Amino acid sequence: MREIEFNQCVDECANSVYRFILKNIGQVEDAQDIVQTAFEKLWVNRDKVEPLKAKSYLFTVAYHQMIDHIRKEKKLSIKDNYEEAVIKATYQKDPELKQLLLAAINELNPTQKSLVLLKDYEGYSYLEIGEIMNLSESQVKVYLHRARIFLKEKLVHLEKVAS
Amino acid sequence: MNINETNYEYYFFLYIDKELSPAENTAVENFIALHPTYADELDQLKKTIQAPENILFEHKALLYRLPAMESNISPDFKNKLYKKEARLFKVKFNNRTKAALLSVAALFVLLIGYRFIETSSVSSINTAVSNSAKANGKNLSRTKAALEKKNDPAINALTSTTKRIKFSGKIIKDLAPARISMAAITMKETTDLNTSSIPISNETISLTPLDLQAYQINQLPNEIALGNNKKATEHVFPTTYQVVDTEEEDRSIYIANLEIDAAALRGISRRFNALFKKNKSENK
Repeated sequence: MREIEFNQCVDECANSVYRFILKNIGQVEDAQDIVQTAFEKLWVNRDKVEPLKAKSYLFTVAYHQMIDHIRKEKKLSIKDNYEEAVIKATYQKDPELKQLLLAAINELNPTQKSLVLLKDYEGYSYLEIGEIMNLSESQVKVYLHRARIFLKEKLVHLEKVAS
Repeated sequence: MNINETNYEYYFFLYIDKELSPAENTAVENFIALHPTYADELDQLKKTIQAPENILFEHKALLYRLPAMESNISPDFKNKLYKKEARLFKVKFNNRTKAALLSVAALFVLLIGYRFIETSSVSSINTAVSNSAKANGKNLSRTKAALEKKNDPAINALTSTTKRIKFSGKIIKDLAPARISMAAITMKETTDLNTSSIPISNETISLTPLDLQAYQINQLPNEIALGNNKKATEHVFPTTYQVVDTEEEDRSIYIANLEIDAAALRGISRRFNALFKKNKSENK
């Protein structure tokens, strides 16, 4: 990978990697650090990483960095500034539904949350998500379905409470 | 693919996750069309999918890697930009250089040692003299005044004599003639300066073992037996220091001088050089 390809990768992947990390940990500065570290590792290993797999490599590195960060900081719960940062940067047809969904997602465990984010935001397949998160395809499918069921039930419950 | 009421949920998940082929998607849509009661359930699942968000990474510029810039700077100009460092001179130490350096170092050590011995001997004599003077209750100021008469034959005799201290017939110390006439003041009665009792010419003072011991511990006796067993009431210790009396009677300042004999130094250096040359020849 040359400088030009690397810079193209920055253009294409920086926002998505940052969004994925920010959604997970909820801290802007830490998310920026993790993204920077991921791209630094990509640059160091640029000779080993194929340009077409650079995005997947970035998400893999960023995900593991994030897991280390979560274990280190023991911040499994989302902080208050998370919602503020996310809400400001989002657009949603149904703001109320967005709020409810955020609240439901925040109750997922980190693995399920990452699965949902990678699937919904980045559109990765089960196989790609499994490669990023070191899970098998069937594991990804099962975990993601459980997360969907949980979110669906939570949304129904919250809608009833709201109404 | 066969979607029915028992497995529809599984295909619904795959449908919303876009994991189905177009044909399978069509099959799911046909199933919903045939069973409208499951349409709400599919809508509930669709709500669990998050809408796309536009979150930007603000510090993207920090991530870019710029290719190395091609410059048209001439090599001469580039060389001028480099910081010029001082040249390093490498000194090669061969055996001759090492021998010379070692001899200089040894000479320096010898000089320091000689200076130390000289200072310590002078200070020991000073201590002895001071103690004796205190014991005898001499009046140094008066003695000094008397001795400052440079025409006094006794003082002149003192400054021109060389003393030798012998023990068992062997010369153990040569005392050079005192340069400063005040050196003779300490052990002498000032009231009746008896010049006849002071040796005029080169004289040898023989010490008994007890006297030598007393001398070595810097406690000089008031009376030292001379060679002819004659009791002497005064003792002269030529020194190379200068005594400066202070206003207080019990305190004096001694200023010592160091004299280096150039011929002796040359002799020492020659001996060292000869020693190293000898070692060098032995190595060969």
